[in-house]
Amino acid sequence: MYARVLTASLIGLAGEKTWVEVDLEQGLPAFNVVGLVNQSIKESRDRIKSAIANCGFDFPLIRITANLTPANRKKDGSHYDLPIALALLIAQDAAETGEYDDAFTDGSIACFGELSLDGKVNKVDGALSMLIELKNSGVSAVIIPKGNLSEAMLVKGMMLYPVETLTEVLEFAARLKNIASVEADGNTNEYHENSFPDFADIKGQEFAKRAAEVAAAGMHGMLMVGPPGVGKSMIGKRIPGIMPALSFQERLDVTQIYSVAGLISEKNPLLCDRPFRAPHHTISAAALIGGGGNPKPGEISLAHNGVLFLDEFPEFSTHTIDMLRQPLEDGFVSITRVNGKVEYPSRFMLVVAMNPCRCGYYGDSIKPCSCTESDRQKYLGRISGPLLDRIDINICMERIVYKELVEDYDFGNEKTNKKPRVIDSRALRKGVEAAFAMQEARYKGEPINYNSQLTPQLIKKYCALDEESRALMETAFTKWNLSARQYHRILKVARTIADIDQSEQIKSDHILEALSYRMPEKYFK
Amino acid sequence: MKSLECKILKITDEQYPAHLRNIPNAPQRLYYIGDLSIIQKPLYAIVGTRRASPYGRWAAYEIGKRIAQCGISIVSGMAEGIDTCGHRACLDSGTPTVAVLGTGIDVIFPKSNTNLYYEIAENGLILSEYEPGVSGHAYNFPERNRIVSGLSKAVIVVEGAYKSGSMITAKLALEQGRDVFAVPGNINQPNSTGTNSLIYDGAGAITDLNELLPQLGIIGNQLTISLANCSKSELEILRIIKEAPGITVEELAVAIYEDIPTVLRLVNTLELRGLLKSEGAKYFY
Ligand SMILES: [Zn+2]
Repeated sequence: MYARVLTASLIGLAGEKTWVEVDLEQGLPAFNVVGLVNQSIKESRDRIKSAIANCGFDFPLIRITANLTPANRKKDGSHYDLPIALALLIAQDAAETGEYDDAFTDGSIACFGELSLDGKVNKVDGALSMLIELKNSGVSAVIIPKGNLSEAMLVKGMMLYPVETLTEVLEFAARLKNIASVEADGNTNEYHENSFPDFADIKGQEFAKRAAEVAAAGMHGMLMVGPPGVGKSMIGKRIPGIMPALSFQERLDVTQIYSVAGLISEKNPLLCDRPFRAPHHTISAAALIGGGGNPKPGEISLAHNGVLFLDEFPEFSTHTIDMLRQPLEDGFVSITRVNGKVEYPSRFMLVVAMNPCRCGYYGDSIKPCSCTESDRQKYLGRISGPLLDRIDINICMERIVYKELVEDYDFGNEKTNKKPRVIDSRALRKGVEAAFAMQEARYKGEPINYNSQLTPQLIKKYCALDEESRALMETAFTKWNLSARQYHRILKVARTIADIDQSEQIKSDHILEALSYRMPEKYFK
Repeated sequence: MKSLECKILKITDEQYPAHLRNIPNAPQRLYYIGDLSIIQKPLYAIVGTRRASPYGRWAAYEIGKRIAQCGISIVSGMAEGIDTCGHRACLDSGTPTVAVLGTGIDVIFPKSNTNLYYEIAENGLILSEYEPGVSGHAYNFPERNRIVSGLSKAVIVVEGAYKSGSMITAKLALEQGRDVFAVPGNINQPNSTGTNSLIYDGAGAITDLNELLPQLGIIGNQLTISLANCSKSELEILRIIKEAPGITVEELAVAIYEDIPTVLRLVNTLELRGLLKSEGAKYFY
């Protein structure tokens, strides 16, 4: 007796159409699952046995072989429980009075879900990716755990059959009872104004706000150095809020990552806001990068299309930080595991914050610093140079001593009627959006999207300087003894400042501002 | 390690500077590496805390630079912080500098000053009264300080707490009949309690870098900076920074009611022309 049921596998973020075949033969009772399966799938045999028994069916005491095909990739996950159990029940003709619907065995309907011992169907991770793949390969109806319904609704046009128990599924397959179907509408929640706090809440750190605007506009890495309490994390938290809204496709991409990581909220399955991830410095390399025993996307992938904020940067382990380099460069992370390699996207904006020294008060206007020069060097030496090379925007932040002065500034000067630009998130987002549009148009035929990705060759092409700017760069080069890397970083940042200005030509004004974001020699030599 | 030629200077030698010989408890003999001619006439000492603030570093460097640009050497103790800035300013100005060690002449302490040690050996003079190989003991350092002030015409204390080695140096300098100057600081900074109390007790207060050289009795050679090509807003910025050294970009923006990018352009223009200096987010004249 033989039956087969269609399901899907998950390889990294990608789904793969997979058949589950079950064959029953006379012989000593045995239950084998084959087809390059992981240990975790072998465990599902016990769940399936209990679930079938607890649903009131007999578990056949004969030789059972379940095969997952194609067998060229190792398979992992608990979502094969339901298709294996279903194929098994159909093969042994468990629903005696029913007549099985061919749709189940010819692949018109697919299914996936994890079983609990009492026969309930539990939600699974990665449902979105599997549904997208099934849709792309022409499947139009899928039985899914009810818990995955909200994210499944994102796969427009798919006919969904949300279920709660194994019995429901079998009765449906045997045409004994129907399951109410839902057609996925493709979009369950409209985009709303993002929920990030506003830059207007931060008083007095106008330089840092401008730096954040420039950094976000070119997706540049950003480093903030300053004593505790100056507002470094307040700045960091607000950066995703000044980036342009994600497109539907980008939201879907991000949602897929969260789906695989098992982090989808049922209320708002489709992620709206750009991700903001701020892992603690005690995080392991596996949790940050992804990988480990049960490879799930790490923080860098959860921050895809958004911001990865690392506070207390020198406290992170050097090993962990070094592992950031490759993903930062490539925009994706490749995780090798026993059963093959998976890739997760990781195109994020890196924002890091640190104190100027271990005690935190070097150079502070009020509190004295208790570190010696060698203490300070040791503290700063913890940060790897190659990673700092990936950070284009560097700023020092000082404590604001006179709050009243700052409020006075916002108000403007009554006498001259001069009023500075009001800096809130809305205003900053406008600048960033303008720069994004400029970059999108410019890099259409190029392998890059943002100024921060410019290579030395592309810098030559897109950061041509006029006479005045060239002279300026030369002066700066000799005055501050800049390295070639620093020189390139300044040009990239100047490119972004010009883009915010919507100027195709980089002008000396842009260079002059860009010089402010160079690495402060005072800290790093 | 490169091998350097180490020699001995005895108190009876002709080259032993007279002004050092006259101090109480003058060293009987000194090990030295480098050029002895530098200490034939009295120098200026810049001393202060190892745990220097950016303000202290800035002041030590700027004061040292102005003195050294007149061709006068700076003497100090090659410790971290203020001492290092004083030596550095001198070497950067192309003037030899003198380091008096609190360790044996062949012991580099702190290790972070290894490069500085060799630069001074090359372009200056290193002195020590300790046997080669003696490592640093806390009590060596005040003892060493009497030589620093002994070689000087005046001692400038940049930053130092009320009870600190710098205060001992100042006391020794006064006993030796040397002038003592101090850089005033904020009254809430422990690093300035010593220097402020020195000023209270009558030490010369360094309050204006433009008046520094006449105040120290150094005439001529002063660097004049051309302000001819500055725009109105640039002059305005310079005036404000002069009034409030250590001012931040935000504070400058408030003072002139300009956008941050405009202020950044102005300060960078001025810094490139050598008219001001930045330290992190702070600007100094
Ligand atoms: Zn400290």
